[in-house]
Amino acid sequence: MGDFLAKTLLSIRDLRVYYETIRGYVKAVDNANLEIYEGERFCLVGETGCGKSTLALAIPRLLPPNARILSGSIIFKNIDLLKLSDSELEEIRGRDIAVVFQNPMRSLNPVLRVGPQVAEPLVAHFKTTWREALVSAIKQLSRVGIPDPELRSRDYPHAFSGGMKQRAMIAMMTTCKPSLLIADEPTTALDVTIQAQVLKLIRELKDEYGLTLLLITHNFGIVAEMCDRVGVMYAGKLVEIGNVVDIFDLPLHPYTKGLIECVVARRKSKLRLSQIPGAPPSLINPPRGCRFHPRCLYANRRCVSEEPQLIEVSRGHLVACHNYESNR
Amino acid sequence: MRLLEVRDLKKYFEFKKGILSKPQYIRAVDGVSFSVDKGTTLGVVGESGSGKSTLGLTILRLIEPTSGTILFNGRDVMRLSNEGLKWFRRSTGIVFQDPYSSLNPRMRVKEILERPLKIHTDYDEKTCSEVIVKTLEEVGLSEEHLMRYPHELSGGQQQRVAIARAIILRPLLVVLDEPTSSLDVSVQAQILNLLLDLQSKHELTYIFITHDLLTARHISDYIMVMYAGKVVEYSTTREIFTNPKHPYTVSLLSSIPIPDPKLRSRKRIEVTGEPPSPLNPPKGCRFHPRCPYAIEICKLKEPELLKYSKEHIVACHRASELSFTELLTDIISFFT
Amino acid sequence: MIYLISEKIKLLSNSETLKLFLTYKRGVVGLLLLFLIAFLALTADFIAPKRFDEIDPSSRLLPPSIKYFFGTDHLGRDIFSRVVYGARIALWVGLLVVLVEAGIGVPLGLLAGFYGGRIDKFISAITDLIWAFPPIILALAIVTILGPGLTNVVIAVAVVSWAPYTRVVRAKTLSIVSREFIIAARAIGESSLSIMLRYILPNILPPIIVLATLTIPSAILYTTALSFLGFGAQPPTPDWGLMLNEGRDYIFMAPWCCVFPGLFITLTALSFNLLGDALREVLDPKLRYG
Repeated sequence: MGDFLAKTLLSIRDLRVYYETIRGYVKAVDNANLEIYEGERFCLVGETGCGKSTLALAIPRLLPPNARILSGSIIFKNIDLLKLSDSELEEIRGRDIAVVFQNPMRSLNPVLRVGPQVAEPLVAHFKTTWREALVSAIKQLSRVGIPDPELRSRDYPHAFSGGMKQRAMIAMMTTCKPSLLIADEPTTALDVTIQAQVLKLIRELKDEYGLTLLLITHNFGIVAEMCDRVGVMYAGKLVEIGNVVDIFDLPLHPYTKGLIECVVARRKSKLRLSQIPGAPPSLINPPRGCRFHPRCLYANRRCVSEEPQLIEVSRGHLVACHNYESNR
Repeated sequence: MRLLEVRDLKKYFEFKKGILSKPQYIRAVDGVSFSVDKGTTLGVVGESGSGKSTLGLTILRLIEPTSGTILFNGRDVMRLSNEGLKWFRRSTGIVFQDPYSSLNPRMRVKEILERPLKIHTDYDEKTCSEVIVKTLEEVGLSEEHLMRYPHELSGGQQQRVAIARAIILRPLLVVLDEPTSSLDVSVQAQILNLLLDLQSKHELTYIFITHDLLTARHISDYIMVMYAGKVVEYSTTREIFTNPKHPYTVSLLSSIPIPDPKLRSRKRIEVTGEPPSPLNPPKGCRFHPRCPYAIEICKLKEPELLKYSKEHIVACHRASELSFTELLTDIISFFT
Repeated sequence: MIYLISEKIKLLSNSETLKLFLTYKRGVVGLLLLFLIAFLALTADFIAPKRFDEIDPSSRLLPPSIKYFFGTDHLGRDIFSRVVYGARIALWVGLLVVLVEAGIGVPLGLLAGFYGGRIDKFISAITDLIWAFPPIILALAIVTILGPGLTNVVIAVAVVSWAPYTRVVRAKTLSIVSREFIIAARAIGESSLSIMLRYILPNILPPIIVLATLTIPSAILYTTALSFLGFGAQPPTPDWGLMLNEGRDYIFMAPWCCVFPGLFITLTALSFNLLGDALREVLDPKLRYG
């Protein structure tokens, strides 16, 4: 895509989110800067603990109680979300910004029937009557591919299979036709064939409702299938941002390169996979300078002392690495 | 040389809804037959409910089979004496998906690795220590990890300990049940490489259970695709990826997200619906409700596993008439 | 047994556990109280001004004074000395009862949880049966059969109160037994006994420790009750329950004969309760890594 005439829907500036734990502060997101354009499909990718979920869930402020947003701004449609009160944010959640989780039971109440749960956002945000809302809910359930939606709307969540629960959650989250849909590893817990169905559904809904998609995943296959632009995170920092074709064909950051090469499919069978030595660092005491330097094959003295900033290297392609030139 | 031969293996779990109702059966593994040659890797691929994990546990008699024959190194596993069973345990190993729950939280690494030695050998303390340290080094750990508890290790390190435990007695066969699924991508590659190294070094035979066809492709010589407790296709890895014959295999291949954005609008076979309930599988071919190619006979008669070509068997009524290579050209080209 | 104790010490010497424990004021108070009582028990020979059986008819029923801290009883014996020596008995008996209780209850729970099926049904049935009986009555019955004496009281109380151990151990065992490290243990060829002792037991220790700490008070109370009724310790043993019995006739004239033994019974039970409460919170969620 790389459409720089597109409007910015969401602008994250200098965001710092730390978690307070007994052992100290976990610097989960450290100085994140990111722009998401209207109508695009943006993927935030990285391994466990890199901070991608924290970054994404900071937007609707759905973080655990020990999270502290220390600084920064999240500008959504000209409003700084971080400056809103809880009740003001509640109005935006569900109506303008919707979230789909890996575990559908985070959104579905096990003791309520599915129909009313899917209808609830309409009643809450648009003040429709329950009757109208339920009718819409049943339509929405049908739209997301649940067979016999009227019958199923009277079921409880436990009667749904994993894939169906996920669809129900998507139905619930899209009834209000939000502008931004945040999907946090929505298919990680699903079987591969169901995953393909759910991803297809998300793509279709995105086109149909014209919504902007922020997808979080650790699976590069999903990144390739689903997104226009990609942001790679490592140890709480955004290390590379670019459009999806550039990221795959010409990754500039050594970590991105390593990850893409790790992904199994690229090699012929039974040859050694390339691997990144070592393991991700502790976020309580991350390495000085570039956080990736202890594992980086190209690290030099500058990398150990000076933290690289995200610079735009070519149109739409940003990287935080002192040595990106030598990686070309 | 055939190391393992399995014939018509079945594992049914009894499921009682109430005291008075008739018992129902979960047919987790419903008549599976295959063999594995020494030094090779068989990839067992399937989604949830396919029975692949149950198969792994049943082969090792960690779950008692309901019926069927298992021949390991020529011996009937079901008829082993106590000594025979001990030999069987010594000659086999297992690695689980979640490395943390497969290690005793109250045992240090040293103890975890000592136990197999203490049970099966009469090594003295010194020899034990030597063997343990050597094995740790083989899996990429070191002496410093000896006194650690599992919760003090990272996921990758925990899995290495689990692998060390499985191979410390130089077994013949190792069953690996999704050993990399819980690990980060960069660590997955390390562990897979480790497994390949260990295999060539010690002539190990692997049964590698996974839902991820890509990982299976990387490590397996042969791939067996399971669906709803039955084998639907079996062939060499190459053949499975270049000439799959079963619609389910094709749908699996089609559904894998390919890490190449240029292939995103490739042709696919779309599969609707979900895997069936193991309590009440569909009549006839278990895949027919979801199969875009199903015809009348598929609803009525269960297809037999028939030989399609040398080293390629399929259970599909339409195997001889359907060809998917055209549909899969994009994917196939990606892999070659 | 030694293994169990060393495991417990291992747990406690883990400094994080200790640090967390110290934040529980109740637990610290309980521990300090316990130390005090244990101190009395251990140093009885040095602290007690008189022997516990030293009769002095000329000093009968004297109120507390500098000479006799807690006064004297109807035989002129120094109550303070008797209380202090009694601490030994109380602690010793409490500990012994718990050891026997656990010794019966824990293995039964392990077997029931591990094997399941008919063994489980059988053990659970017996456990439920025992638990259904009012313990004091059952204990009385046993002690009547066995005859009086402290050892018999210990046996009686232990026999009626092992049920909670079986219940807890069985439940915990069931929750662990299908975990992968147990399957892995079988895969390397561990015997059932080995699995129960090396894999299951160490992982269910925290609730057992907590249970033990909390049942000591009831053990002490039961034994003192039985002694009070005359079935336990025999004179001149300075058992606190027996002292209550002996002081009963003089409760209005010389209340100190009952007050001090009673006070110490309460304090001891309280200290274990507080300790156990705090331990329950410290040990359970923290060390349940699984």
